[in-house]
Amino acid sequence: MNRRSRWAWVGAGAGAQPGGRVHPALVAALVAAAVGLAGLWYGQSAGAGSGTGAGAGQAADSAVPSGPDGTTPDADEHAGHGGAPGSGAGGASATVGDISVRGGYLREPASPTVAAAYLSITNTGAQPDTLLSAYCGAARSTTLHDVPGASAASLPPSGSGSGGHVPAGPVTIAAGATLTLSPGHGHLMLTELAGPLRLGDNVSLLLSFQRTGQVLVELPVVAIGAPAPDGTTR
Amino acid sequence: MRRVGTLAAIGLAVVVAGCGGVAGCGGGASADRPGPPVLTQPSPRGAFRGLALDPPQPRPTFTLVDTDGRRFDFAARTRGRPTLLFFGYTHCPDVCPTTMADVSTALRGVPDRLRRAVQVVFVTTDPARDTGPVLAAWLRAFDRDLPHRFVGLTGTRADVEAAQVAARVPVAEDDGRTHSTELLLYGTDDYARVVYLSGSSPEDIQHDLPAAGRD
Repeated sequence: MNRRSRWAWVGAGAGAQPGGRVHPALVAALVAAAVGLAGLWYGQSAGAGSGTGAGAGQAADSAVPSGPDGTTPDADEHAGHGGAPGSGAGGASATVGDISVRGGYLREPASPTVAAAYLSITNTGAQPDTLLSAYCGAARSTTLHDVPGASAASLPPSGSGSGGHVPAGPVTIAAGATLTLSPGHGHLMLTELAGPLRLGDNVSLLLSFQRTGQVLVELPVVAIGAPAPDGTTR
Repeated sequence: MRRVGTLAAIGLAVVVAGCGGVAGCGGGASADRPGPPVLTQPSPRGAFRGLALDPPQPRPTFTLVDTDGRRFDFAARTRGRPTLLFFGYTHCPDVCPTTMADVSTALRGVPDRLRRAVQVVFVTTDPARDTGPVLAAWLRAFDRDLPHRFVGLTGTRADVEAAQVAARVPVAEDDGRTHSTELLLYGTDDYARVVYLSGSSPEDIQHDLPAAGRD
């Protein structure tokens, strides 16, 4: 909304020169203004990943989600699409501080009301960090379920197995450890979906960590029956 | 736009804690239920990739209601046909859709004749919410492009529980949310010799279907 209106304003300014001749200094000023506004917008969007977290200030420039191969998309692409960096072949990824999210995706749901998201979270730091909450714009509620090792109650009983859905409390990820949520081994459960989720959609997921603050990742919707984007899980 | 929404939404972030808004999340284990003779060691070499059932389990007898509201006598309607049977519910985010998607993928990978022979039956463990239309719409996500519709069955809670007992799976608890993850494969001889839990892959099921489909 803001982005579009700002660009429209800049465009109107350039087009408002009736004589057809535009002074080079004016062009330069407009370009500078455009770049500045784009930068401003980009700064805000990057801050969304960390803006209200404990490390808001220091994380503002490290909240850029990276691509599936670990590269960081340049600012033009990021701002131009406002879309889904790192939601390609390897699933969604993002890194903020010591928290690195990889292989994230959302499975196209058969249900109109619930869906599941899967990802891996690695804590590369020297201190433990705790995942406190998750928010997904596509659903009214997002909860962690059946997290492996989170508590004894969340482990499926041995033998015949169980499809229990046990909400997990805050999950602490030890220094150097990885929490992997994969089919049958924990998931983020999205309930009361805002609308249909279809192949090709991207959905924002905001994870809040005690130390790192907030990590924003854009999850691609993967078709029913298709392999997981990172190939390591179904 | 989405980012703006995300910013606004930060204040609404849902705390991942305790039971949240999910009712009855105790998720009691089912280990103390009168259990079927399920053995979880790998089946004899080369026979099945699923888990072997020893002794084999006979095709169960139960009658429920299909998605069109008609009575469905499981034993009579599936007798002599390779049949995959699963108990779950459509509000299940993880195990149920994953399992049905695996079944769908496996069926796409077998020869056409076998694909046409196999019947898939999904029995809801949440009959209060899984009405016929809800079940039918959910199953369509998995059986499109396949020669046969997956059969969705519901009924009274007592009837659904009786079906689970007949199939020798742990009876679901917690309004159906905590349920068996067993996918049973019955052969043309009306016995199940193999079962799949949620760790199985579509390739495992695909590998075993021909044996179950053997005349």
